[in-house]
Amino acid sequence: MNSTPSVRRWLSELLQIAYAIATILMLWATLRVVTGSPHPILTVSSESMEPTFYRGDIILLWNRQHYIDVGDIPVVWFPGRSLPMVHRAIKVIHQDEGESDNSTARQLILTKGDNNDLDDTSLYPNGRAFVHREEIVGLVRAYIPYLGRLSLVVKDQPWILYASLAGMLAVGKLL
Amino acid sequence: MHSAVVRVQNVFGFFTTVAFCVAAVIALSTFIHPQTPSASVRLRNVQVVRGRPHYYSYKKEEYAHIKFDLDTDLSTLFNWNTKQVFLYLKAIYPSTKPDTPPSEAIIWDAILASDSAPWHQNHYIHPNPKAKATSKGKPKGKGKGKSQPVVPESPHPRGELHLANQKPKYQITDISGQLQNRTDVVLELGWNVQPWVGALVWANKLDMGMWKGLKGGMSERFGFPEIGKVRRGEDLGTEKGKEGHRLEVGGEQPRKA
Repeated sequence: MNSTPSVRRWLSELLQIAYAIATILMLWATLRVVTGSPHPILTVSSESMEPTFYRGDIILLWNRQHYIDVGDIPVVWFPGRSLPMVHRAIKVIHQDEGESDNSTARQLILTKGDNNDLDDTSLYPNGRAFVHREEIVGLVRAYIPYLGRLSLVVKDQPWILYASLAGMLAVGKLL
Repeated sequence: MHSAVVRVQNVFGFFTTVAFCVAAVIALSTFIHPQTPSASVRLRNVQVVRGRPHYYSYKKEEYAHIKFDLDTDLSTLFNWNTKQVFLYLKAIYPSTKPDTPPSEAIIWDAILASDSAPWHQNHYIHPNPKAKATSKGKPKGKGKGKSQPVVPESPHPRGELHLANQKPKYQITDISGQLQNRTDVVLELGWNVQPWVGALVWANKLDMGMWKGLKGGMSERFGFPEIGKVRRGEDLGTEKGKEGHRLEVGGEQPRKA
């Protein structure tokens, strides 16, 4: 090992890291394509769906169901908002847009958190009373409890992420 | 190769693999547990009234108040991987224009918790007509510290519900503001089984392997009547869900538009 020039050794280490990162990125991109959702894995960060979902649960989304039924759990992410809302659909109305073309019938969805007394109309932007299908990034189909707790801690204190990244690199260099 | 860090890494990696496999086995075991749900839903009374049903209604609109009877046996839905069953009754009514899918709205819901779920105030407690009217959950005396709330027992086994003349939790409105004289309205029972880990499942009408489809669960077709005057003493209030008692401090606050 000592006979190879150090630049080449350093480059091959870099390649290993690049392989690892590229694999993870491609797996993530594949998951996005398969589920049809831009954010197929999310962490629940509010208590509005207790006792169904607690803060720190990881939810897996599926976005290839076009028609929302009441009782489904859509994840609503309005453009411009920093966080999505994970609530339950309690009302679905189909509003006909065009004259006789029913393919433009628009779904209007009203949501409410299981732990909220009132429905979500006050949380929608600009006085809107319903959510549109395109603002839903996926329906919750599966979940894993507790696993996202660490990500919530990191979200509140991002320095932990930088510190542990630096720590991992240092340990990797030392070995 | 034998340093402490590498050993910790190996242990942690092995733990992760084992935990993942155990979780996958638990999640899959739900599907081999036999289920035989059955339900019977009957309409008791429906009234269409003109008023302001929602906190954000700025003009009067027509809304329907539906009272129903519900008898259901969902005890087979509970297995070792069940955390809770979110039960709901929805009203399906056709839209005014043809070729448009019908609209659905939940009029009543309940969270049925399994025995393994930690207590939460939103859990549904079956009304017990025989229970004495004790002070629900108020700590007796001036004892300091938290006291466990007194949870009244349900008169039926877990998963069985027998409700008569049940008030809805939500009123039905339509986006057109008009609801009277609609025909072909039907009430349908649905549920969402929440596991401890794994896939969420909704009500199945068809048999799926060990899971039998729901027997019954739909009411007869009925229509929304004309607007009726509210008789004196008539109670058109909704049933307040348990989530109405949650303190909003630190929770999501309604945003001013």
